[in-house]
Amino acid sequence: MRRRRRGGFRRRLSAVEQRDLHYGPNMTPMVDVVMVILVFFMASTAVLGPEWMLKSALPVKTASAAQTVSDELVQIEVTLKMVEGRPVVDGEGIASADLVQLAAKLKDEAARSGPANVALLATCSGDVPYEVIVKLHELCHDLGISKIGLLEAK
Amino acid sequence: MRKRRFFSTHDIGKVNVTPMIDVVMCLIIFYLLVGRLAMSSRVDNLPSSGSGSTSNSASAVVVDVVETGQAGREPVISVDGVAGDLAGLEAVLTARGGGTPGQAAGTEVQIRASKDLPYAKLAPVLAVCRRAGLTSVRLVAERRP
Repeated sequence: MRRRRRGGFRRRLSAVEQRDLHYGPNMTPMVDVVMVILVFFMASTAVLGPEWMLKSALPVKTASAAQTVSDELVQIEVTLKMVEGRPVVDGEGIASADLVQLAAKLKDEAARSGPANVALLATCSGDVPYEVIVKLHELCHDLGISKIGLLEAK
Repeated sequence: MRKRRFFSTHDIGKVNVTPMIDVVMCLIIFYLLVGRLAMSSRVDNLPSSGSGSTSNSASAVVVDVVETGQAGREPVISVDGVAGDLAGLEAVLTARGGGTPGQAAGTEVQIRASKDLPYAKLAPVLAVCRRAGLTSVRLVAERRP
């Protein structure tokens, strides 16, 4: 006795007939390409890595610019140099300090006047590495001070 | 009796292009990846930062400042992946300002330099940006977890 399948009695198709019955798009190459694109983006993300941008103003010192600074703005001007391989900061109310001491002073000013009203202007000596300049910007960013600029060396 | 066919009924003259497209796509993606890595690896020793902002500006000018490693020689300055010099950077910024020098204030400039680069070699780049009318630049740092 032959088995009856759902949908009625059917004879078994040959391989050629089954192949001929297949219709619709071939998904295999599309899946290949999608997989390659997926791997590409995963690899590029892992290799390149995310980056931070630290905004740095480029102020120009002029006599008229000094007059336009608002009364509320606390402008801290410092010079940054390297002494025995360590960054040293000099400025108003701060002498031969390191970045931690500068951070403490900025924190006080930010608490007193508000971070939006504090501006840090730094003049760097030629031997200061880029890493220290980025560190200075990071420090201000952490305190919420967005006004930080690099002055032209005299 | 029907003769059994062991071979495909496709015409011999037809070419199956599917594997070719696969391979070509792989090659395109490989060269895209290599090209992008080659551009980005010009500065491979970025400083790290625990904070900062992100930028999705597609029109930003990316300036790589790469030290040559030879004493007394100026660093190589690449603008958007093309090696050049300060004059080249000035020309790009002037073009962004509509051809008039000092009018590139709306342009975003991202500066990438290795963490050991002394400020003396970065200062001329900033001076060019100042002359181009920029009021700020963005210093690029790796994200510190």
